Amino acid sequence: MKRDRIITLISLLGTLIYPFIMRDPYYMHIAILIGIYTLLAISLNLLLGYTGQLSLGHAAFFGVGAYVASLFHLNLKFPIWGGMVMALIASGILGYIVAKLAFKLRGAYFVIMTIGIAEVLKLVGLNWVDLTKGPMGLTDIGVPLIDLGWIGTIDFSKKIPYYYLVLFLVFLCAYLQYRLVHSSFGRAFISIRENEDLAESVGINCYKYLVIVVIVCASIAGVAGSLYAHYVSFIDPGVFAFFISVNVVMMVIGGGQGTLVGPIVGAILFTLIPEWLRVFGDARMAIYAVIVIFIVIFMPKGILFYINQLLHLRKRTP
Amino acid sequence: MNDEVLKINHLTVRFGGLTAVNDVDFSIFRNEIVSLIGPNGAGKTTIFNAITGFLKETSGTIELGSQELTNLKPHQIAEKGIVRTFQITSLFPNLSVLDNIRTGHHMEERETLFDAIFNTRRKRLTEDETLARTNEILKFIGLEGKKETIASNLPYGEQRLLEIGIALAAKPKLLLLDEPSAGLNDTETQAMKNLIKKMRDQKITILLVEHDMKLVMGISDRILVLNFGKKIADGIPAKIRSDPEVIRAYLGERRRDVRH
Repeated sequence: MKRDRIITLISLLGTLIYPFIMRDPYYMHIAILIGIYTLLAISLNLLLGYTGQLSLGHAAFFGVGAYVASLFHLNLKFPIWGGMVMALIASGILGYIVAKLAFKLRGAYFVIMTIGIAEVLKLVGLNWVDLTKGPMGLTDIGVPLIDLGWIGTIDFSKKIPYYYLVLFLVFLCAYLQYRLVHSSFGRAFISIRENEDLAESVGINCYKYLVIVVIVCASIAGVAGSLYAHYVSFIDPGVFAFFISVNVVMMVIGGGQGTLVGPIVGAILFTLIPEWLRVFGDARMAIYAVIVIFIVIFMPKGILFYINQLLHLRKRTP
Repeated sequence: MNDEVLKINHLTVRFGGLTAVNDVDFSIFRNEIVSLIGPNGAGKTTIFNAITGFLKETSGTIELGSQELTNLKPHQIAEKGIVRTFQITSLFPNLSVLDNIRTGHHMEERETLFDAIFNTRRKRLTEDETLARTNEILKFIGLEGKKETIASNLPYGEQRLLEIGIALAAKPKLLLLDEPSAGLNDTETQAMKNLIKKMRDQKITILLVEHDMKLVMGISDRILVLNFGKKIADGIPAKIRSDPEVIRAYLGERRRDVRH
């Protein structure tokens, strides 16, 4: 236990001083992408890891967050914060509607429904040209300066301030997840995964809790989308792409579903591995696929579980 | 009678062409232990499922006190005070014994999303209460030494006890037990019998489905017998034991042309 705490503390410090060690902008870029993916993985973990419902349409919430934040910023001159809050609200509402409809069904039906919703939204993005500029996408979303009065201004177009913004939100969401999981809400979520009939029989309204989970997880994904849009400053309907949803599912399962740290480990690894594989040129994605298959076959409980086992083995043999 | 806890009127459940429960009436009174027996396929579990909302009855009504339970969902029926266990052992398999019972205590926990996120005083108080109640129940079912054990690693007999612990955590007025002693050995069955009696002493009314006749005869205040979805007898154990219709249902009819 003590060792776990020390490792957590070191990792926290590591993320805080990271920009001072890695001055290379490429590594800063990767770190920000990892942060955004971590938000997505944490949010999906609430649904997949704790309530046990597989969604392959997480990109729907991510994409809506990205578009809503960008449109409010571009058309109505909302500041980045305002856009972010609107993204949160919009994805939350979408989450509510999706959950209300989708949880009439379970299992394979639910999975197909989530895929469908993301695909429909992608088509809306492609075809509502007046609003979304279709496949041309939205450009120059940019990041405004934040005026802090006498302290000065923060320029979020620089990578280091943006890194800290993302990091702050990751901390916030990880904390939120920690609190939720260790409450009667968390126990209700887990009971749905473990045994839905038994949960109902002791008075847990599973439908209600599933709706709550999806609202929370959609809102977080929406914030991640708005961060992404402001970071790359350009979005097109590709933000609704199926591979984003699949990627996030892989991070959660590969990292360790139903654990607090697993999805974070997953987000880091599954962003880094494809980057490391760039040296292989065209063979990159093929090799990546093989690695993923190996992880799923040999580490079905998620990487975190096996890291933990290693740590504890070492402790026993001094 | 005022002490009527559960009243079932003309309950019928059909699955397609099959009538699983056919026009059954019965009542359960406060602080009784009532057993529901009958050969396999007689409709006992179907009645349980209909009472607890897992199945929709085809016709008839189910009343708790003076409240109509028809069309309620299982979790709403649990809120009214009817909690059940399942025929096939049903736990939260990957959680510890402690967390299993804590989860069963859900209805008593009155924390909001706000409380959960900000770890308010009310939340911490709720958690303390839950823990205290959980420990009480663990002692009651005799699993206080196994708090941290993962439920699926418990021996079968203790899993059946834990099931009852989860149900008790939901504070039932009426507890429906579906074959609690199935698969238990003699000592474990004896322990189960004592536990059921102890629960009655806690003012819990119990409806029991059970195949172990020794247990049924030894514990029940009243026995209901079903056969092919119809109620064929209702009375005290001594009367049921000698009821010709019950004997016929269990042993079959004597063939007239038996040759020696």
